[in-house]
Amino acid sequence: MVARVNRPVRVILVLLLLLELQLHVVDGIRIAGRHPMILLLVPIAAALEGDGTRGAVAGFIAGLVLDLYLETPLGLSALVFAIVGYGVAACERSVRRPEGWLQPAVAGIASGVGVIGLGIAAAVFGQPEYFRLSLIGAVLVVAVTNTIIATPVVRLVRWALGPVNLGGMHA
Amino acid sequence: MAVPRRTSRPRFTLGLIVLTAITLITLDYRADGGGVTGSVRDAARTVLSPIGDAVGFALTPIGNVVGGVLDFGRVRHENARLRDELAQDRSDVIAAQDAKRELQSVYDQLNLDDPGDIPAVAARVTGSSPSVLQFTLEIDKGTNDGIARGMPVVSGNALVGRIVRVTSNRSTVRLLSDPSLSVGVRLSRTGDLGVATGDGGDFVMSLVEPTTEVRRGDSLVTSGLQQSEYPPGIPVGTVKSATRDDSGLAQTVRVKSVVNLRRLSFVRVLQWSPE
Repeated sequence: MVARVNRPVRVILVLLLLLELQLHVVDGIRIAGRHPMILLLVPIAAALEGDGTRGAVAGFIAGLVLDLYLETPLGLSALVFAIVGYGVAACERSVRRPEGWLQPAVAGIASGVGVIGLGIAAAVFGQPEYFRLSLIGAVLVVAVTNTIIATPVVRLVRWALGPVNLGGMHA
Repeated sequence: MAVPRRTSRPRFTLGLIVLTAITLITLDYRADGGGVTGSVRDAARTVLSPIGDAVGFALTPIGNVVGGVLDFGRVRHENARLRDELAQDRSDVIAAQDAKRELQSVYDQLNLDDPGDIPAVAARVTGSSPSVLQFTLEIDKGTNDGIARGMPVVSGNALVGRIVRVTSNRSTVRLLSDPSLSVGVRLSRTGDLGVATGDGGDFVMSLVEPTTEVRRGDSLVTSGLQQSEYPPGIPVGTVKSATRDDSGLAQTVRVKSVVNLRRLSFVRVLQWSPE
């Protein structure tokens, strides 16, 4: 019961923490004019530590929170983040669960794919000017920085979400 | 050992999420930033802004330190370059004072607004966009201070962008570097017109005649043509390079902003709207 009450609080705390880190710390770090995107690690970490459902739901919520601060259509990041979360879990299912150094590597690759996904989604939903060659810089910056910071964020998300119930959730 | 079912529920959940997200996107797209989705956004930002201010007060110095360390080499180089430019600019100021007097008489004769006379609201930059696609920043003034959507934003006297979203005490500025922002510009030396569009870092001036002679260092100002979204004569940037298109029918000019759009602390919102 205590765990049930605490989990939403932990999730909100972690989301707010990562959002504020994104807005006030990460956005100040510019590499080649682009900044890292820490919130994209939320669905990836949820998928690595849980399953497709967790990855998709965590991605939708984290993306929606981010969308509140963006001028792209509301729901765009939520859509892409959810697909990234589900995709990481689906890829993980086809091979073995990544552990050790493989987790940051998967997080980095998935982050890069996520940024490309954001560009494609923006183009599909009426903002083609954002899907251009200069997006490669953002893909590289986000992929590399998310690889570096993946381990602590995965641990944070693991703490927030708690253990996954495979049987009960049909993971 | 029994293998847990791993496919049906996640796919169903993902399907539901995709449907919800597409519905939200459609609603927001149709409302054009307003409507229910716009109100939700504005309310969330207003509610979260005090938390953001408090956390920002504590965390922004950390971001500045990390950013400063990563930027140290570039900043030192930039500092040296700026000292050179300052010396040059001091002599240019003397020449500019005379030109300004002449310009003022032209403004008076043509009954045009002098950009320096437009009322403005000073604002502090409170944050930049968390997006990797867009280039925007947040300022601490909103409708309560007389700011409205579409107003031009300057730093010093140079254009940095325009207001795209306003709440009672916050506004979002779309920067010149954003690929979705286009500005009608004029080459100061030749008077040729073109359109400058953001490209992430710098911006690109297109629709320039192939016969136009464009030199590195040429300055660009807003054209201020009829129906323009910016007043005329606001400095926009300087030419970095110019290349002819493969077709030979136009040339593409890369332009560097007058101000560093990544390091803005204070800006001024010009209370100006197109006639």
